[in-house]
Amino acid sequence: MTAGAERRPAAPVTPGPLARLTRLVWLLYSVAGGAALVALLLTVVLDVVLRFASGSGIEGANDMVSSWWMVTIAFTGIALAQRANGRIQVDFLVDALPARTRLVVDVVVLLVVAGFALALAWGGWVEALEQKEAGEYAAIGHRLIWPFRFVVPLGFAGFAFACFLSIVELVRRGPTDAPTDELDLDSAVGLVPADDKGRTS
Amino acid sequence: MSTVTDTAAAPEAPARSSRLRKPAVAVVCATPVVVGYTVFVMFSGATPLNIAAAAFVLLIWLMFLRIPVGLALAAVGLLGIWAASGATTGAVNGLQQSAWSSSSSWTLSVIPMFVLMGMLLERSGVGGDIFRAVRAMVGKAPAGLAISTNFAGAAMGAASGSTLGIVYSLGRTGIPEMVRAGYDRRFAAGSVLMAGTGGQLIPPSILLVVYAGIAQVPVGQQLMAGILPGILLHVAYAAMMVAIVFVRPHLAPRHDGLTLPWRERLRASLGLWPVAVLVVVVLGGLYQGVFTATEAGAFGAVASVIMVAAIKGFGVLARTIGPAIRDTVIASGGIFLIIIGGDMFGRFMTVSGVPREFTTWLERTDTGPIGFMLLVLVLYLLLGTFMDPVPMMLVTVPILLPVAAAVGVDPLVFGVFVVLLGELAVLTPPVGILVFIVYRIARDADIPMTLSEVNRGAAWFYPISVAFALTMVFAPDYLLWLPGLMK
Repeated sequence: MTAGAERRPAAPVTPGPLARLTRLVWLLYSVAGGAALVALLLTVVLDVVLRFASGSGIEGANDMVSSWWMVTIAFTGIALAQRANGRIQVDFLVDALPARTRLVVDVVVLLVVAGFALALAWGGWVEALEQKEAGEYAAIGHRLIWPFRFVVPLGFAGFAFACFLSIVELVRRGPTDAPTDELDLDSAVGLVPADDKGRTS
Repeated sequence: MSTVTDTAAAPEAPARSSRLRKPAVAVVCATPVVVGYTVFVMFSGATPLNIAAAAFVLLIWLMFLRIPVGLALAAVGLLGIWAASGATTGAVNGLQQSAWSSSSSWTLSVIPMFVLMGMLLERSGVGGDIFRAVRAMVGKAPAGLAISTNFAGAAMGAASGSTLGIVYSLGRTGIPEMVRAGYDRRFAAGSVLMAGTGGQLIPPSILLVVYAGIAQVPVGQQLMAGILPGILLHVAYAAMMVAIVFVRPHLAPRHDGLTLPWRERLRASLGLWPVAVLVVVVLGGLYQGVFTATEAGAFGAVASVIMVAAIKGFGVLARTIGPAIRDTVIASGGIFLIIIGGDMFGRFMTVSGVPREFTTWLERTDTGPIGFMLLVLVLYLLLGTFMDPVPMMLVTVPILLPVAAAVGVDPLVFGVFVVLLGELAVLTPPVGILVFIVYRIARDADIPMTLSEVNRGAAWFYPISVAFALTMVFAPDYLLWLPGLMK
């Protein structure tokens, strides 16, 4: 349910400065998201253990989980999901188009999607600046929250970046009749990491 | 795997594509007109109901064009708020705040925990052990292989919240074996599909968590409410399988399955201990009130790590944990994008007043809870033909839930009901993801299965799910028994 229909693997970006940069970007998103996931797990477990052992858990654990780790997982994940094409979408109609039309539709759709993602990034950015100004922090434990507000624009910017990369790959590949509505089973169920398929470079 | 992709795609897809080519071109050409017209209607001073109707048309259109569902929901939602309120303030607020407010949620933090738990067990191969254990325990029976597959689905549903994951691992072993044992291809496909769908009712269930998030009901109670119907649903499927064998003996062997000596059976049944551990940790913790849902998920994930290390060794754990974490982040991102979009769309629905209008209409026509639930049933079966469960719930629950409350349907019952119906959505053509998965698994194993055979297999069991949904309409009280016992 969490993964959707899959675009056929496009021609990999030829190794170069751009490819190295994109690889670094996705590595940073993956590391940040993975670290947040581990941090969430540890925060929750430690909180419970401390609560049972000493009667009081981590002060403000709920805020750490929701305002720090959850948003980091969600927004790094949003960017990575767009890159891994693990998004949920309807495919059967566009797949029936003639190859050239489909390429045009795909590129236009990706441009529109990227534009809207940038609008969401802008919205998140404005909000993050406001909260920074206000010095937003959690009531319990006095931990700063506002720095994590910037994860929202970063996530949507990464999403837009992923769209632009897809456009570059689509245009390089040119029109094709290969159906894209067939699911890529392995990545749909997450059994093979996207890296193994050379799709995240 | 990529070679398999090619062979699998070859036989049917081009035929389908060429049949759809003309309508597809027509849709693309009509897009500027439809988008322009719906936006015009929304901003032409129409009544809130007409604005909502135009917004729904726009939403469906955008989804057909492959705009990611989450973004389509967000865009139409923000546009709708702007149109319905006549000012940009609400839409700008939504643009700035919705993403943060709907993702920085303690309730929903259980989602990555449940996903991680399932990913670890699936990727390390523990799911396969569970399947073998159930098969050894079921032994010889009418349609024995199919019934074991079905109950293995229930057992795996208690360890993982991913229907796709369950169907994938059951199908890869189950379908080739059943076909070899003389099962009709449709029967084999149908039994694997159904084995996966009931799993979403048995906790850990992502869909029930998403629902609890929208409905603002306690996640623990909502998860508990799913257990009994989840188990009963699998029992009903098993009964249907036996019935099919007796009525149409040529579809499946009258007597098959593994016959192992009891000592072997007992030994094989040890393969179920990861499920037992997770049931005790997650469900036991929730039931006893020791854990909140997120805590239960976190301890379930820790238990999974320990069990993978214990059963498969540290080598396998080291190999699987990194990719499992990464894919958990990706899967969570996919779900949260839809949740964020759904939040914006939900704000629009509140502004538009559609839920209020709907409630008034139901009250005026004197539709009671049963009539309402039947309406929802039909609505979901229709929506399910082209929408996935999560977006479907995010679009409809904010509208339907206030109505459900007004006509006296318990929100916990309503949650189980919509999740069951939502799961049917992944089975219904033309956009049933699970159908494609099973088709591809069969092709992968060189079984000449066609898409329509998979669809027909699902159709045999589909009425059971609908009938089961009807039990929730007419006798919903049993769903509240377990949540009522919780501490």
